[in-house]
Amino acid sequence: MRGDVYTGIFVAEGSSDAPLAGIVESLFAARGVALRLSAPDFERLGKVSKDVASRVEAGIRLMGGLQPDVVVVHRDADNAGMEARQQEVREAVKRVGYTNACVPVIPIRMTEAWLLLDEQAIRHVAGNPRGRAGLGLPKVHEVEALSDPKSYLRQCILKAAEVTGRRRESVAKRFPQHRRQLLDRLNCNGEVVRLDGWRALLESVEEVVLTFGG
Amino acid sequence: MENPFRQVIVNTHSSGVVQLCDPDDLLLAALVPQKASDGSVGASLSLLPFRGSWRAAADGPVFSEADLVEFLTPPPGRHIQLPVDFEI
Repeated sequence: MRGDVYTGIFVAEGSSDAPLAGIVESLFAARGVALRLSAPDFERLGKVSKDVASRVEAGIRLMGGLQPDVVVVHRDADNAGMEARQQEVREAVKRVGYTNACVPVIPIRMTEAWLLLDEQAIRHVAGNPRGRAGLGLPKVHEVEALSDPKSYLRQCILKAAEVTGRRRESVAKRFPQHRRQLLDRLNCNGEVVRLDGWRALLESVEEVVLTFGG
Repeated sequence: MENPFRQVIVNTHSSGVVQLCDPDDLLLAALVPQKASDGSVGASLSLLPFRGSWRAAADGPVFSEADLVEFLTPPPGRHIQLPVDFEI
């Protein structure tokens, strides 16, 4: 901790997941803890392996070798399941000799599950905020059970855009940017609070806040 | 010069400019979410000094190379580059 601000490092699964760092910071802030996460884009560090341990180790080295107060690691649960993935993250972090707090961010199956909850946000990023086309969004209790939420979200954005031909192709190509914008707009107090993956994240944050005496 | 500048402030996103600055001179503009007295969460802008620099207080927040990766590495998807064996 430096003054009244805690320091941390955020290891994302991909570079379009970077807005999750701000989301985790605001979850801490809402519980009275000022946390600043450094979120290096590890994809630009070609010589650092992609596994969690290598990235955490590289991040700590870049921070001058001092252990940050919190390490936040984002990984999709995919087919491994949330608990197995949490365990994997905690073990990888320990393996590099890191002993302070760890917050795993593990959306069930994929991060896109968290982005399928806000119809208006999807229409907005698709560039057609007043559109009326049916998007066929899943119900809240269904999103974590979808087998491929990424392709589902892709289809929903295309439906929301209501364009054809070349314009449709150009919307399709911009999926990573649209996905990033949806993450940026994720309402931390919205429907997402009903998802198991999100609740597990809140539990981890609260555990860490308690160890900080919050 | 009769009345020299005492301080010059440059606001930049340029990786070239950042790389040519003495880290002692750099300040990183970062948004840190904070809880307001009414319970809402808002982001406040902080200007952070580089770790170990003269501005860095013993217990104040700092930034490090971990915050500068995009300023210190070539951008992804570049359209032109030297042959691999010419790269430094």
